[in-house]
Amino acid sequence: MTEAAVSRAPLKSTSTAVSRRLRRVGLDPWLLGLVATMVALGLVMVYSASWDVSYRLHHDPNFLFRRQLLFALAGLSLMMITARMPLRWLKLLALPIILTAIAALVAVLLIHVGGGPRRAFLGGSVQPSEMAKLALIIYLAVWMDSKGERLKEWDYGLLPLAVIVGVMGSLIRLQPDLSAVITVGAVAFVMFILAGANIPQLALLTAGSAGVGFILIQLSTTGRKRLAEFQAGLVDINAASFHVQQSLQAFFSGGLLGRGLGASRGKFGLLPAPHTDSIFAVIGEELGLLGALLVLALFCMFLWRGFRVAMEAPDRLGMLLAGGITFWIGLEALVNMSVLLGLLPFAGNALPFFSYGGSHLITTLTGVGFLLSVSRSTMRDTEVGGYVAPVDIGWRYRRRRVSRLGRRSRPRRAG
Amino acid sequence: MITPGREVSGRIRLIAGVMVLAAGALIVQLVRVQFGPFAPIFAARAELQTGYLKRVVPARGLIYDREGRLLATNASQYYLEVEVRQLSDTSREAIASVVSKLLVLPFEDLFSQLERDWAAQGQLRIRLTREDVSGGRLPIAVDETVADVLKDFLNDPQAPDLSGLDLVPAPRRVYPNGSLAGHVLGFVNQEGRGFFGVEGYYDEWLSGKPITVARSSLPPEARLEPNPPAGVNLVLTLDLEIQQTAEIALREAVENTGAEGGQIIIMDPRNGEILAMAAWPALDPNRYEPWLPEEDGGKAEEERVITPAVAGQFEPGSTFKVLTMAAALDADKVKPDDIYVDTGLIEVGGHPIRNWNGGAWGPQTMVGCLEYSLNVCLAYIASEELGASLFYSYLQDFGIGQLTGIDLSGEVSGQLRTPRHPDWTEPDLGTNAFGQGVSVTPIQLMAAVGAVANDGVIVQPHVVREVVGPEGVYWPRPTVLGRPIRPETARTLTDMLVQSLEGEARFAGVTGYRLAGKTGTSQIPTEMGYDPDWTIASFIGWGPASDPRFVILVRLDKPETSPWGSVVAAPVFQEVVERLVVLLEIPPDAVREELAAGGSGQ
Repeated sequence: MTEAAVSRAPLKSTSTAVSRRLRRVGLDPWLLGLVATMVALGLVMVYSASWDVSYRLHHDPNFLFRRQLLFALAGLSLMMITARMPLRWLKLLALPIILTAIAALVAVLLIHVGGGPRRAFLGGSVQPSEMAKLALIIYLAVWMDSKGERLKEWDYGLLPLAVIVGVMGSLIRLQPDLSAVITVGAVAFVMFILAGANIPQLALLTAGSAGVGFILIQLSTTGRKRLAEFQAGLVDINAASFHVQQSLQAFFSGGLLGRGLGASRGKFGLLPAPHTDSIFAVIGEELGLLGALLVLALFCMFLWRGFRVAMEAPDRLGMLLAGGITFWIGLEALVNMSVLLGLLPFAGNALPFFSYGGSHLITTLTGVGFLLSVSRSTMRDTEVGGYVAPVDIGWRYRRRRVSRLGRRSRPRRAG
Repeated sequence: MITPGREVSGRIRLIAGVMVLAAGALIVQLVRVQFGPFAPIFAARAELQTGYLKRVVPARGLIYDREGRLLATNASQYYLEVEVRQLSDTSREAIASVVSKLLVLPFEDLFSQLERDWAAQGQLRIRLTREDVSGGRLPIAVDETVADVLKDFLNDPQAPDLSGLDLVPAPRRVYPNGSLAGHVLGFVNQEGRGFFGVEGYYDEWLSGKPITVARSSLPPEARLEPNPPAGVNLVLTLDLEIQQTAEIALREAVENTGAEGGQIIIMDPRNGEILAMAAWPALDPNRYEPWLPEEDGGKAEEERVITPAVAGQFEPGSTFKVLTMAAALDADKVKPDDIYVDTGLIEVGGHPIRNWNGGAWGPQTMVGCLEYSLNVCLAYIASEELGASLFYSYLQDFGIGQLTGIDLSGEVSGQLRTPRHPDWTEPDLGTNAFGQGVSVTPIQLMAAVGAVANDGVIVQPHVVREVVGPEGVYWPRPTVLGRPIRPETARTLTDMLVQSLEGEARFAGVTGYRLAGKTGTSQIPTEMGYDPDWTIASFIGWGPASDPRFVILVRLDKPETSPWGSVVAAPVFQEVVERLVVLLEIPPDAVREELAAGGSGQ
């Protein structure tokens, strides 16, 4: 909590100045501030939750934290890059991006030998399914935008959509990573709503995806077991899965104000995956009910800002992209938190901005970059009105100033 | 460009609304966890998980022979334990298959142990077990090599998922010499408790003082392990080479005579140090399981005799005549040259007593009485010359029917019925004179006869020479148990026994050494009277006669080739002495006398 306050304080004190500058740059100051707060708080929590695991796995308590720090820097850099990328470039890039993602998904299935899930390259550091989620959002946004009103036609909209999502979903299903499949499906579903799907299509889609989801869960032993554990755990806490019991125990032992930063007990072996999937439980134990509520509030504010960007987006592409990305990040967060609180069957979703994990953090921040890019184009459009041609020149012309500002603003935020 | 209209805003608001609802559910659940109906359960569990009591057991003391050769030491082994709550479907299978492959155990057996719903039985941690040859179940213990493999698996994220498995180190007692001196050493069970022999007798000293400390598991404490006072090391009086010699001689004797079992004990009569204590059948303390006392203390418990030297009581038979004669000589009732006319029959208390061959041996000196082992003669001495009160008072002085107090676990006292005993009858006086109707342990007989070899002084037999503890070294002093006879009596009797032994045709003797000794053939009492077929053949002897350095007891149970101690046991004594004088570097009598004379001359 203190960390969060510290990192937010300078923003607030200079908020008007920074906000003015950022507005001139075209970046949403609220979004930037929220993301910065969450990444900073996330780093603190990752350090607290990871040192024991890190020491056990790598004989160095700082190993995982150092990596996460690098991931955060890489992610923030990518975010700044994508934030300045004009949205129309995406129209060209969407196809290569989705093809690369599919290729990566296929490669991870082929390259990895031996038993166990095939989810990552390079000993677990690159997970193509994380990138596939963002790639799919970009592709769907571009594709839905290009289809326009014709999307409402069955053979033009629903069928191709089902094929695209089906291919991606099957590839991820083969890893297998059921949680990612369901996330991908839900994101596509919501984007379809945003793109203007009509009621019969939605009804069919709802029924269809519910059916597919049910079959997928029944087909997977893990899925079935987790569902059964979830149902039992809702009634009787003693019947819940070990993970959920430990997580709830952590929340309980945190009390109102928490045991204090770094003082979690569950992270020493009781709570599975304290630094990745279960980091919210560690937050709950160390920072208490208030800390957990703060994290929840941060995500709610992020949702508010993200959807606002979507609503104010200058075009359909921007709206779909912003809406999809916001929903995606919010969904991951809500699912993760619900799972740890025993409100959903067990799923492997990480908590965006907080959980340890390179692919996840970098992809999420890149997505935020696109979100910022949409907000930027909104502001630029409102500032300069209909002058489309001079904007590019002006944008190029103003770039040097932007860069300088960006560089100056960073140390302030960190301090 | 189409700006998103009112409809899109509505849809976005709908989605945002659903997500906010979900967030609201989270808030409710967060509060419910804290204050809801499950809060007491969590509170109770929080207590459980934070700490535990840890018992820190110091390393058990080592045991050495008198030359510092290692007899008992410790090694590491690990038990396989499973934290039930951390098991997953994959790890259940992985643990079962990895363990079954490493240790060549049946997979199904292990898997079924992992699959049981232990949590429902209130067990959160189980120890994996395996089927034992005897049909029971033993905990699986792995050595360090296997443990290292498993540890690597546990630390390697790429390896099979063994989550839930835990290796719990436990010390194991190792006896590098196998069964050598096994009966003297006793053994240590899996819980670290010593049984029998030295391990049993000195259990408290060897094991040190375990400490129980309260430790916190969450967060793990980085405190140093407490250092409990370590167990003491013991240096025994045994000499491994002599022990080995005795065990080889015993095994050969058992094989040659077809005996069921046997013992050889070698003691230094001057200080009571046991130099060797061999027993057959051998006990390998590394494989002690069959010897473990049964917990219900059933019938088998009473019959089993571990460390037979202190627990294997028997009727001593003719070897006991040494004590009868010693009493008579010491009380000045007889002299070596006194003549007794043996008619082949004497009645004591109306009970007829005959000689071993039933014959009449005519006029015999006291030496002859011993040489031909005449029961009639000795019964006469006890009943007519000594009388009951004097005879039994001597026997009590010799420690018959009493514990010697040797530092070995499981000693029994034997049984001597004196006239004060309600079951004593007069005929007992006659039979006791030649070792019937009285039971002794080998070590008791050894200590008593040792007095004859040691100028009339009984020294308490013992097996520990040095106690090396953290606070220093302690040498137990030889304890004098009593002086039942005068030194002159002891020397006279020794000379008589030397003569009688030299007269024994079957006993060739050991060239260069004068040895004293007495054979014994005892009958085995059963509930139906004496066993008609089997005997215990024994021999007790010492040497060199002028300055005894060793007393040797040879006992063979139920020999097949011949029932007589003179035939079966005496040659074993001779064989052991032949090797013993070399090992103890005892010069032949002639050389010693020369040295003594030379020494006094200068």
